[in-house]
Amino acid sequence: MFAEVDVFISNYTLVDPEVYQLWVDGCSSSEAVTALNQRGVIQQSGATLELVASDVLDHYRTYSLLERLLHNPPKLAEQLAFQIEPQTRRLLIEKYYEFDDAVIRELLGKKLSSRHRKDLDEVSEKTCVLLKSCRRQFDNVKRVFKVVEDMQGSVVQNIKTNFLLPEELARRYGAVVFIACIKFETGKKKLQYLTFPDFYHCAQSIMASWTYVDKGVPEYDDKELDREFLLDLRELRILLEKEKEHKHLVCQKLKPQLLERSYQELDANFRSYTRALVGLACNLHRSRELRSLFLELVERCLEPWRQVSWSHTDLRNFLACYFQCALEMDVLREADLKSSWERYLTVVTSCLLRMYHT
Amino acid sequence: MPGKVKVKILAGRNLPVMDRSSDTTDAYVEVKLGNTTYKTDVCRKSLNPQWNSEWYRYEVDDSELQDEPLQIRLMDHDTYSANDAIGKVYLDLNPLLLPVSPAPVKSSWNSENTTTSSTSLTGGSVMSGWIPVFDTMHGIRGEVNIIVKVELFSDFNKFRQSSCGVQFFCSPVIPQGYLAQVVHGFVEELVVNDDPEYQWIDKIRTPRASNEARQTLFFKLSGEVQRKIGLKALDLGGNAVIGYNQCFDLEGESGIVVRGIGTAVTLTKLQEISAPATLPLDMTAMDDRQQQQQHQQQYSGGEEDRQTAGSPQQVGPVSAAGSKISPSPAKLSTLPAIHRRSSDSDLSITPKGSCRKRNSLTGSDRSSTMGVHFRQGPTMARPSLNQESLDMMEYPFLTMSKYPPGFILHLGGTVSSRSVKLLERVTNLEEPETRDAWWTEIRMEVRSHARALGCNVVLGYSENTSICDDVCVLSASGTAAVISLQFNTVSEPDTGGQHLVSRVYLHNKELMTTSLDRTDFEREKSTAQKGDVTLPFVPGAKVRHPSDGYELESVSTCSICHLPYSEGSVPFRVTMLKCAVCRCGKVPDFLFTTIELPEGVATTGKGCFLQAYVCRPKRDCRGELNAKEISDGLPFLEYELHCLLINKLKVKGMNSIFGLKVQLSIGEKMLVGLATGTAVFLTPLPMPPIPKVSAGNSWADDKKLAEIQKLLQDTVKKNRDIYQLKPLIELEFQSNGRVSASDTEESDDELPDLDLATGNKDTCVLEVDDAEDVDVISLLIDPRPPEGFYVVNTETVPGLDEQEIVRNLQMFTQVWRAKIPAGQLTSVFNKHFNRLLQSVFFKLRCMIPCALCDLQFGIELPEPDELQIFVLGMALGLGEPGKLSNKFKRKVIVPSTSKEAIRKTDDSELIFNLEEDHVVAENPAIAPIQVQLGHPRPRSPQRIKTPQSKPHHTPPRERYGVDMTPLSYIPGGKIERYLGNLNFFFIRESTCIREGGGLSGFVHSFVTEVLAIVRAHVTALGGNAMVAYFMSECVLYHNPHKNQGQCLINVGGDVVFVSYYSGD
Repeated sequence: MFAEVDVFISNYTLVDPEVYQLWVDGCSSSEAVTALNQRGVIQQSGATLELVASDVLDHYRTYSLLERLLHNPPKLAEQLAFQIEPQTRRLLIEKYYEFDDAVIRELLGKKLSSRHRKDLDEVSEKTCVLLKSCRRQFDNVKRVFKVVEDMQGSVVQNIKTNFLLPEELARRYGAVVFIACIKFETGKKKLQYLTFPDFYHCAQSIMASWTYVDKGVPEYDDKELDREFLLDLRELRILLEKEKEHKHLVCQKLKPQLLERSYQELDANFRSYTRALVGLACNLHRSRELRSLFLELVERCLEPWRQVSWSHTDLRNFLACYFQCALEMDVLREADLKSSWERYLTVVTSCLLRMYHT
Repeated sequence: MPGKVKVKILAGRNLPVMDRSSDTTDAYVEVKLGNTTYKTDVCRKSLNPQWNSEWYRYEVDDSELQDEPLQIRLMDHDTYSANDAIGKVYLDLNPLLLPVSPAPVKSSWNSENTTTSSTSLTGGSVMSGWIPVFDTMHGIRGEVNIIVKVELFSDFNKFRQSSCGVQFFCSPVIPQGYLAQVVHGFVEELVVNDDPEYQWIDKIRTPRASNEARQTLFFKLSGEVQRKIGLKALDLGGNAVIGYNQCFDLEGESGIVVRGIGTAVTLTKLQEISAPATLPLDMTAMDDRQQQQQHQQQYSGGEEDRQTAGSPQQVGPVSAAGSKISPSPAKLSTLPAIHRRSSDSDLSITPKGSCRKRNSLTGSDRSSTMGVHFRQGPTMARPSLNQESLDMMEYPFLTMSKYPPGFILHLGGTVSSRSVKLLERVTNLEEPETRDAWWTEIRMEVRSHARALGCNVVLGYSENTSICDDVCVLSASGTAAVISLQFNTVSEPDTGGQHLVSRVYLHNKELMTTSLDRTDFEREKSTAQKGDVTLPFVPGAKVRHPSDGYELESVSTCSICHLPYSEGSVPFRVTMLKCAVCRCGKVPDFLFTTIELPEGVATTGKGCFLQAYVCRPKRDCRGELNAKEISDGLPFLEYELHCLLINKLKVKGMNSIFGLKVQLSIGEKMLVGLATGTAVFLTPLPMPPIPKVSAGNSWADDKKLAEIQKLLQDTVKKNRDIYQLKPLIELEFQSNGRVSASDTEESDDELPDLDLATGNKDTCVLEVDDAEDVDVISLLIDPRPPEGFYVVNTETVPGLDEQEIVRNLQMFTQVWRAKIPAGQLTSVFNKHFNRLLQSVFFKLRCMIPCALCDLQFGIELPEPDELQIFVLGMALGLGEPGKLSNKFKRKVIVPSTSKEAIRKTDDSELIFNLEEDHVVAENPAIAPIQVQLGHPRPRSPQRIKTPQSKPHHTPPRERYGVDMTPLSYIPGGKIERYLGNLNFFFIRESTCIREGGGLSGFVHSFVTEVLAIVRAHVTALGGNAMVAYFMSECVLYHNPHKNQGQCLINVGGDVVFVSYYSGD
């Protein structure tokens, strides 16, 4: 017998974390029932499948009524339609804005337009995440981006206040927004192997030291790179002129740590490595170069190293040594140049190490 | 005479987009009261407009203030076309007309939902805050922030039409923190009007206009009924109406009837100091007289203080100690009423049997005298209308369900009366009189039933209707009882101080009970901060109770169950037995009542929820034929329902039902009756026999028969086990070996005795003739709730001792509707009824241990083959009873080591001492049964439990938002102030049912919205909770072909401000 009406409404909105997760994941109500059934809800509670189904439908109705409000989390606290206890409210928001790394990786570098929204079924296929969930994540990112894009101040802080997200999640969104703002190239085939956590890591370190954040000036924010710094980086060209000296220092230091074969290889290729690293720095003030930062890093640095099959330790040792030796050189005596070098290479080191998958 | 209303519209938020082209709205507000309308400026292109309007002032007659809601309509301005309505807010001004309580408590509840301005302004006659804007076609569309102030000039005019200041309580108890000085009696009123939905104009207007016309009219009628009832209460000399119950009868073509019933009382606010920390329900069951004497001495001074201190708080004719000080002119007119009402000689008048057809079938159980009253076709109003209206004053009906201890002397049983009427469109003027006459007949019948049972009042009285097309079944029911004469004499409004003696008596009686609470309260205080002023009282009270109280106490635990009449005096056969506690009184074998379990009554084990459902097919006919069909079917329906109840009760192993509600619903092809109640084992009553199965002539399968019998027996045994219904013998063994052989024998004797008495062809033996009967028997066995759930339909769980209700968890509403296949109706229903409960258990599975209290059911047959049920209930968290007090008890209970005894007397050391004394001092003939007293433990700060490994709940420190509960109390909290009652009738219609998630989605969002609106009103009035929440109507029309649906919901309750005990 089919019940035409079967609803259960409580004064305080009931949220079942398990069912909510299924809803957020984009399961249809019947899929949710099946999933719950598989998890043994019926065995635990002794309920019939029908009861579970009716419960899931109740929850789904509530959530779909809530969804509109979840688009604007501060409104969720203010609205009167649902009486939601604060801890439940936090749960609702947090889970709704949670995203899958794989899905977001696909969305990175794409224009958040409705045209792309239609292509989400490809993303769904590729990531094995349900289309509904992909759409939700797409919409969430787009919404967060739209709100925060033109706001001044710390992007993470803005996300936290406008979407009431916890710190960690806000940071993740911050990285997505940052990558979207700078329009970093992330979609090229050569970059496909990079995961979202890789980009998250890189974006975090770039945001931390290449943006205006350090300056403490309120009108600048951490979505924009420090122009002056990028221009200053041109001065590092001098390192290319003193390449021999640099190479000598590096090789000397690394000799005991490297295998003979690696040492030979470094000795032979140092010139191309340093050209790649310093050349990149010199060109970063051009926005086209900046956008393809990750591509450059992969093509000019990581690929050669991978070809000669450096280990992760080799790379770390090399970069540390490379960085240190440059500082010891006379050409970097100047404090400004020195700090530019530090600021540049720490970030690049951190990125390279993260991006170097072996 | 006049009142001034000032309204300010501050702002709106989250308004819908009304102008698609620009995605904004040009909103303005129309404010209307009576015939005056003001408009704000248009706030262009904003979904969050700031109007910050001037103060709009209205000067209105106070009767108009009571009748007319303040209507606030949000509009979208359109330059070229007609302005569109966004939605409306109706504000009931009645709560603002109440006397202002002094020194409003600082509101600490401030939720995020309210602006700071609203909290600073709340209190008394101001209402402010964000209120959802509701549109009947679209639901909630944003919110509006308003401030409303009312200034009222007191009116002492004798002929005034208004009853401002009479406070209404939906709660069927004496409100917390108040003292019922005088109970004046039953007040009722009904008004009749055309239903706008059925007017000719409805053919040409939009559904929205029609819905709004209805909502507005319903609001006005509701206000009018309340005002008129208030006037009647004033006439009787009261200042408040408690147990107020209002219903809307949608009679269709013949209009709508709004009925209200209640009990007029004179309430005085307890002084802050004497305000009990616990509920008035918590009064410990004690005797009356001796303690009264003591307290009379102790408090006579304090009482004077209270009265003088209390009076300035009150305004106008509703002054607290009104009968003494009030200049109310209404007083004078009450004198004749007294005489009419005090006609106690009526009691001896034997009922006129002429107008009644007694249902002889119910004879075996005297407790439910279901006299059925039938009328075919419209009855003529009797010519002697004057006489009738005079008689009206004589209804000894009280609508409360809970009474102070000592108030009830004996319970007679449930009395009810029904009448089938044919609705006909009569000219407007005459109509109310017809309806009045109908109800008068029924009430007179209920009254005469009560008198037949030798009772002087009907308690827990309620009235209901069920309408199908043009046939209407009116029902009234209540519990016949004998109440204490002291209460009776003082319940007459005495003018001046002539009856000073009895008055003082009453005060002290009341004070006695509250003083006990104070004892608790004080004791806790003293632990926290020494040196309280009233502290000296405490030890005295403590010492005296045990010594003086026991003798009468022991009587009061069972005397309430003793029959108020002798065997010969009733015109039907009764089974009378000796009281199992005192061995001298006569008790019935079963007792059905509509009230809560009175405190201090001896019960054994736990109570549980009980329901019985009967469905009878009927022929589909029209008009008078239909009425006849229904009235012919009703007696059978009632009989079946009764048998089912009795048998289910036996299967449960219990012998009484409290909170019995019988609902009738008539459909085109069915008659449905649903009885719900809470089964309790009353210790004085005999243990019910196990139903016996006997084979009919055509049934030869003995094996099968034995199986059934075994099944039944096993179930009863299991139930007895689960609900801890220990048979007498076992109990005696447990009570410290004090087994008296004679008692054991006696109880052994009694059991077969019972069987003989009832063992004929009646309800005890279930005859099995065919397989169908087997099914019927299996229906008797209800599935038990899962472990950790306790289900009842009363306000507390009787006999729940190892755990205590510590907090509110969830108020829930469930609506279910489905097509019922023809045939096997009853079994299908049973299945679904159990499914409904099971889905509640499933939903709340993470809340155990949990008590589901005050389950209310509404049953309807909206279509010939459709059944709709709604359930309203409250989930309450159970925690461990206070550790501290437990230790305390253990010290006291030296002689008894049995766990049973500890559990059963764990209330407070005070009671226990009583018990012990009673056991020792009473003559040994009285079986030393460890009797548990059915009163809830005081919810006091002391009772905060320490965390245990077992899941349990802890009392709340505060509650987020607005707590809504159908109960009249808030566990773990104290109701500081009552801020008025609300009653809303909402209509919601949709023409896109499918798009909105089907009918379920429609109902779901509507109920959610209704709750949201009620909460917003509660907040705006300065409250943080609603008690006695009810949903009396939930009508759903569905037209799938048009993709259209309409839903009507009537909800309401008492707005309160609750403070929670801050745990340490």
